[in-house]
Amino acid sequence: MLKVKKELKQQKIVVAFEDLSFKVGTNPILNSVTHELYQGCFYSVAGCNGSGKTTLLQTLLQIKKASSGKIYLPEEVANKAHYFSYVPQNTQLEFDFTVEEVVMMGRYPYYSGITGPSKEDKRKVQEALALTDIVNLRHRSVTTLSGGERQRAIIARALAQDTPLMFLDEPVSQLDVYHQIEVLKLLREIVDTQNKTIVTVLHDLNQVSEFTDHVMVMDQGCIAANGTPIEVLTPKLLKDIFRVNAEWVCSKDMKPHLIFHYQKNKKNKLLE
Amino acid sequence: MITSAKYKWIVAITLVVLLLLSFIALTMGPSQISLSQLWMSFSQPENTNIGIGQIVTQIRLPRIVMALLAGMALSASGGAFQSIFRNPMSDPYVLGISSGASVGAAIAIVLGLQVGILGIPFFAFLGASSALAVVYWLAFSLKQSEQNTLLLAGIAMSLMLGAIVSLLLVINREQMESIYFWMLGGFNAISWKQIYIVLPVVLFSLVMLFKYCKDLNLLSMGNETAHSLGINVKQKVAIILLISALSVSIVVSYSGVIGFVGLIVPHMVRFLVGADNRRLLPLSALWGGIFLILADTLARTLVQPGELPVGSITALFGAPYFFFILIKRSRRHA
Repeated sequence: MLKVKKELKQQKIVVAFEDLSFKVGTNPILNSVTHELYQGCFYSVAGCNGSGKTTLLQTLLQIKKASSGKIYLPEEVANKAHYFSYVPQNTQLEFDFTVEEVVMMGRYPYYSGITGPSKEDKRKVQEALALTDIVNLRHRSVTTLSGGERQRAIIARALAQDTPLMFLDEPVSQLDVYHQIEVLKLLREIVDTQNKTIVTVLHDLNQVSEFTDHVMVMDQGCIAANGTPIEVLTPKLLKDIFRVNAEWVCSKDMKPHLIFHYQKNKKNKLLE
Repeated sequence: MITSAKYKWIVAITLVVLLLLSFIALTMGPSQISLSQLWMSFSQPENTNIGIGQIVTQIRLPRIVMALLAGMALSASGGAFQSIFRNPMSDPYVLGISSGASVGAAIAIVLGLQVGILGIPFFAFLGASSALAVVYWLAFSLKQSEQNTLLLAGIAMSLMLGAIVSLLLVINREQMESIYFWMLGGFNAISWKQIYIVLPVVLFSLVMLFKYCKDLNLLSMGNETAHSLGINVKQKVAIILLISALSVSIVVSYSGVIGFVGLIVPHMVRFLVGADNRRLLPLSALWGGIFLILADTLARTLVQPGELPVGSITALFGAPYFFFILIKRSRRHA
C-alpha cells in the first residue's frame, strides 16, 4: 500500500495517493481518489456529513486499511509516526495525565522506555507548549482543562511529534469563535514558519478561504473539486454539493467572504 | 506530575508498609505468635518451637506470599485493562475474565482433568482466554464512545459464566464442596509447591506488562491516537490482554475468584502518582499485594476460629468503590 517514489521529492510532494478506495462491505465510503499534497501547504477538506472526509484522512494514515489504491511517499520511512501526526475528531482524555505528559507522548516514537526522553525530546515538548501558549498549564491535569485548552494540548502533542505532515480532523469544531481563530492562526503560522504540510477538515467555508491555501471538496467519497478556495467554492458548487445559496462579497478589508442566503418563509425540510 | 525523587520516596514507603504488614500478618491467626517468637523462628530456627516454626514457614508465610502475588497480578492487570478500555471501572473481574478462568478450572475439577499440578491452571487459562476473546471482539466492534457498553457486556458474561459454574455444581454433587470452597476465594490451602508455579508466571507477566507501559499510555488516549503514534493497536491489545489473562488465570486457579482488587487499587494509586502507567503499574502491583495481605489477615482473624472468604472482604470494599467511581464519572461527563 505504502510505496516510495523518489521523484516526488524533487517536486516537493510529501504524499501522493492514487485510486484510493475504502469500502464497508460493498458500500464505498472512499471512491477511487487521486491527489498529491505539497510541502509547506495548508490544505482543507470540506464536504457534507458522510462525504468521506475523515475516512480519507484515516486511510492515508492507515488507521483504516484501503480496499484498493496506492499511497506514495518521497522517501523511505522507518517509522510512520516520524512522518505523519494526527489530531482525531475526539481524543479521549479519561485519565489525569498532566498537559506536559500528554505533549511528551508526541515524543514516544523517538525514545525507548529504557533510555527515557533526550534533551532534544524535552526541548521539542517545551517548544510545542510555547507555540500553543499553554506553558502555564503544563502541570495541570488534562481532564480539568476547558475545551479550548484541551484542544491546544492535543495540537501541541502533534506538534511535538515534529512530522512533515500533520492531519487534523475538525480541530475547531468544539471551540468558541475566539479559540477557533486562535487555533487556525496557529496552524497557519506553523505552515508558514516551519514549512510543514497541514491537512485539516473544516466545516466553516469562510475559515477555509481565510486560512487555507487549497481546499478539497468531498462528495459521496470522491474529490468533487480541488484548488484554491476562491476558485473552488463557486456559488454553483455550493448549491450542488452543500445545497446552500451563497455568494462571495468583499469586506471592508478587501477580503472575500461568503454570504449565505436563505428564504425565511420557506419550510425547513429538517422540521417537516 | 510528581517528581522522580518523590516517586522514589513513595515506593520506599510502600515497601516499608509491605514489609511491616507482612510481619504483623505472620503473627496473627488462630494461634497468636509474638514478634520475638517470629524473629526467633527466622534467626534461630533450631531453637524455635517446632509448632511455631511450622505455622510460620509452612502455613502463614506461603499464604502471605500468595496473597502478595495475587494482589500484584490482579492490580497490574486491572491497571492495564483500564488503560486499554479507557475506563477506570474495568478490571479482569468486572469484564468476566476471572469468571472465565473459574469456569475453566471448574470444568477441569468436574471432568477430573487435573493432570498433574498444571491441569487446573491450564484449563483456567483456556477459560480466561475464551472470555477474553469475546471482550476483545466487543472492544473492536463497539464505537470508542461506547466503552460503558463493554462493561455491561462483561457483567452479563460474568453472570452467564457464574450460572455455568452453578450448573456444574448441581450436576456434580459429589464435588460440590471442593468447587464451592475454591470458588469463594482464599489462600487457606496454599503450599510452597503452588507458590513455585505461581511465582514465575506472575513475575513474567508483571515484567511484560511493565514493558508495555508506554504503549498503555498511548492506548489510553484512544486507538486512533495510539495508531498515529506508531502503535499496532490490535496486536498490542491482544498481547497485553493475553499476558493479563495468563497471570489472572494462574492466580484464580489457586486462590479462586477475588474481585475488585484490579479496580480499586490502580484507581487509588492514580491519585498518588498520576496516570502515567510507567509509575502507576509498578506501584499498583505493590499496593495490590498490600491490599490482599490485609484482606487475607482480616479474613482469618475477624471470626476466629473460622475464616471468611477473602473474595467477600474485597467485595465489601470494592462494590461501594465501584459506585463511587460510577458517580464521579457521570458527574465529570455531565
